[in-house]
Amino acid sequence: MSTTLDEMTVRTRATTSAELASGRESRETVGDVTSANPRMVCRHVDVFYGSTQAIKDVSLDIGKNEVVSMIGPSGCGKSTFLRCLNRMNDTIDGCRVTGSITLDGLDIYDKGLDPVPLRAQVGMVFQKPNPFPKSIYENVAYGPRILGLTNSKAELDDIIEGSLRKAGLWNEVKDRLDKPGTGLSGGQQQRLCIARTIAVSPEVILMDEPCSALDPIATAIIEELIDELRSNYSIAIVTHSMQQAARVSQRTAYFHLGDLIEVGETNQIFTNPKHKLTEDYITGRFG
Amino acid sequence: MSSLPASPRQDDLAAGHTVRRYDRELKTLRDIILDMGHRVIEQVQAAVVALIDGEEIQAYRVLDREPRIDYLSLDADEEIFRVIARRQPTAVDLRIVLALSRIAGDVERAGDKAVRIARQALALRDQVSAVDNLLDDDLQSRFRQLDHRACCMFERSIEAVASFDVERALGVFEDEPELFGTSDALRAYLSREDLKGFKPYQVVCLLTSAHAIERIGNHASNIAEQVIYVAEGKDIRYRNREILIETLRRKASA
Amino acid sequence: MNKTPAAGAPPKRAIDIVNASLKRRYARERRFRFIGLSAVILGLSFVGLLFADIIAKGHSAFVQTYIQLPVHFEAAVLDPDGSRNPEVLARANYQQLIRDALRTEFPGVTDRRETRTLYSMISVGAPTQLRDRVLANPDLIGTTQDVWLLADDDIDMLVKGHIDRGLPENQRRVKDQAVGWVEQLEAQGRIAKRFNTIFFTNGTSREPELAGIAGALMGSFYTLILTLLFAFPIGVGAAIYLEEFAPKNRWTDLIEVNINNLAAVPSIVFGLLGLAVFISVFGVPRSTPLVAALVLTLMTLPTIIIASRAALKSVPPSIREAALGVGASPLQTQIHHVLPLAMPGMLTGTIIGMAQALGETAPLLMIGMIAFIVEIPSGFTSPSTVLPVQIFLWADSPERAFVERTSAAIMVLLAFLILMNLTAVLLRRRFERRW
Repeated sequence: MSTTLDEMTVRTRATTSAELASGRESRETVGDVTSANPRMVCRHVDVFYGSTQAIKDVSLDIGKNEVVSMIGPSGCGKSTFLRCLNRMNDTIDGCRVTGSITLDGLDIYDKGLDPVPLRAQVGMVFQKPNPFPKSIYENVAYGPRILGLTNSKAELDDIIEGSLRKAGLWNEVKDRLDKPGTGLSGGQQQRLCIARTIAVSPEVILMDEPCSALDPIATAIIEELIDELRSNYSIAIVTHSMQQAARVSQRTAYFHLGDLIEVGETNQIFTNPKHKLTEDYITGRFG
Repeated sequence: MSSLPASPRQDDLAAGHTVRRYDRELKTLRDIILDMGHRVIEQVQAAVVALIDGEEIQAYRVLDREPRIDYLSLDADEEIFRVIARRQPTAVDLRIVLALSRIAGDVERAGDKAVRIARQALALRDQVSAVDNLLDDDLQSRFRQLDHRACCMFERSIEAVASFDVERALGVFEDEPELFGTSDALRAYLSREDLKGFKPYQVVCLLTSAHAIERIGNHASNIAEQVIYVAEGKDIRYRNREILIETLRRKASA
Repeated sequence: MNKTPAAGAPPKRAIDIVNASLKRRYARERRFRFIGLSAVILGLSFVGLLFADIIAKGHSAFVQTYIQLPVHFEAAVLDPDGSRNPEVLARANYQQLIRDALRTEFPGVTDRRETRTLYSMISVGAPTQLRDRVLANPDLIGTTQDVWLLADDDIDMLVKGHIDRGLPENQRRVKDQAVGWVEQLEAQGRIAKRFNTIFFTNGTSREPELAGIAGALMGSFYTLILTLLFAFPIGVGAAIYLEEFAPKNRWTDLIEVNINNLAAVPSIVFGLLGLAVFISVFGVPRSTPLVAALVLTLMTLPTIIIASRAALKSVPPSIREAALGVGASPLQTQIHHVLPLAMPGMLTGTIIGMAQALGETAPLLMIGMIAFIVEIPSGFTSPSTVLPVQIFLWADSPERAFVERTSAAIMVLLAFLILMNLTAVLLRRRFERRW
């Protein structure tokens, strides 16, 4: 995995130097990157891992009550970009982010801004379901507890029930809240992780290939859930399944070798993409 | 011809998939439709010969060969279902499949028009014995002219389908005014009060044939519209033709 | 190939070629398995031999020979003024009582040399035994009691059969006369072997029958406690910092390499270091559990750090991401989620490090733990020795009785080591989680 990633990076560099020679540093994004009602606004974001550039001059808005999907081949930087949005990249050595990313007008890369509460505001759901090896209750309770969101046990119980209900998991687990979260099925675990994320009342939810480890039925349940969550949250989702992007999102962004190639209404991207690279990718002509 | 001069399209819009089987499936589908198209052109030509020169055998041949086109159109439908079900085409592939589906319909109906002309050719001479040149030279040349326009358009539209060529499709649109002009003139000629030598039912036959030939030209236009839909991603039906041609030409030369 | 293919015959299928070489491949596999199995059996048999030898030599040390004598607690000797003053009683001449008892038992012995031989049958520790009895119960004064008295080590060896009675007198340590007395006493049922509590309650001694491992055990105990207190927090802290917080650069690489090298440094070097730094520079009292613990901490730290880092590495990063993702700070992530999952591995590493420290001798020789200390240490700064050093010392002693004591001490040490390793295994089993 790491070798392919490295090769990918090497190839990125090669392309970049070729582009530099031709006087072009990064590709222009096709389509409208702005959202009518933006919650997160990213402008000219560059991400470097050491000396290699993983993201090149990406601008993108994530609107209120909107699902933005990010698609692209492996190593195109879509996950990297997603992880910029809640400063998850801070944990990686040698990762440098330039440009501006704002959440409700506040620069999240501001020196004075603490990434810890930011991650509660911008929650994240990961590729592999990763519940804590604790009880279902504790899994959901952990966030509100450390953030001090509740004053009493009753309040905490309410939050947990509410979160599990919103994640569509309540009826399945209400009788076994004290059982370990790792004992649930993959799809249930992923919904538990979503419940855990929404328990701290985030404004934006980032999802990094949330269904890649799930079977089609569990995937469909998660997709339905994403559609329901849209009424309360802004959602950015990275997915390898183009059909999934087409199904769940309102807007789609196509990344290619660190460039944001095209952004547009999902309907438009999947029926009539403007850029050749986008079209080649979504019609299966890549490579 | 493409919206992206920086990345010129390769020879074929429908090709280049990582899964090469997908390419082959789309090619099979298109080949069926091209085959239909070529057969329809032959049918039309044979029917018009039957109509003008009174060769009955050509008319019967047209009637005989018609079912083959219908079967091909069924094959095309089946292939379309299969591609949609198995490949879930998106973007250009989706447009190709949708357009080919519509094109198949137009080609099939153009084939029906050939049959209609052939029937009219037979009906025209049904009660007349041994009339070699029922149609005088003037009328013959008018019919030939109309047929030439329509067939030219149809042939060109089928060629356009073969490579989803915007240029050729625009050519089809450009022929439209002449087709309508010729057709209107022929209709006017046939509706003249001083038209001699034809019984009323024969005039109806001739009018019907003329209308059918014109319709073939219309089908060609429809096919050309679908070609532009595939290549440009825009549905240009019911748009003003002149403006459309101008925009697309300007874009192509840019 | 048993068949030569005819010209124009269809080309050989791959499966035929595979089948042809299959037999050879299986034979090779069997050979390898056999070699591996014999290596394991050889190793195990050596371990078994070692254990059998030690147990054979050492098991008799757990019993001790006692001689029953009627002792008259003579009031004139013990408490001449009749005050029952404990101080007077403590200083009284109990040896006199034993000698009187022996003389009464064997009235025919009058010669000075013979008398000395007779007296030497009873251990020099026996008077202490009598004194303790009297101090515990002063009413004994003036009465005559049958008392089981501790036999001298030579008599002990004779009774246990380690000294061959068939040898000529000049080739064994026990005189014919003494053998005769022993046989007389045995016939009277006045010689018995009892469980050797002295071995577990006494410190070391020049007299084998009085020597015990209690001092060394306590020394080892204090040392290990201190080592654990020093090494575990430092080791785990260092591991967490290096693994989770330290930037990955040339300096941390260097530190990592050095920690790995440190684990391979001969342990005596740590002893020299302790002598030079802790004792000479910082003035830590030598020969104490404190200085031993400092040295052993240095020695076990690399083991603990390496094991703890491995344990931290094995915690899936998804857990860290999950915790960070709901707004936990990096330290909360570590303490609430990573550490509990890594703890079994860390404890296992620590216990193995402790076991290593328990069995270590060389560095402790350098810091004075080799001193002959009879007292049972009472604290972290009282002079003491440790079990392996005690074994080393006893193994050096000429007396026959120390041989079996050495083996017995080794058995105790091994028992503790096995116990610790077992704990490590159980901990790993108990807390191993799957995710």
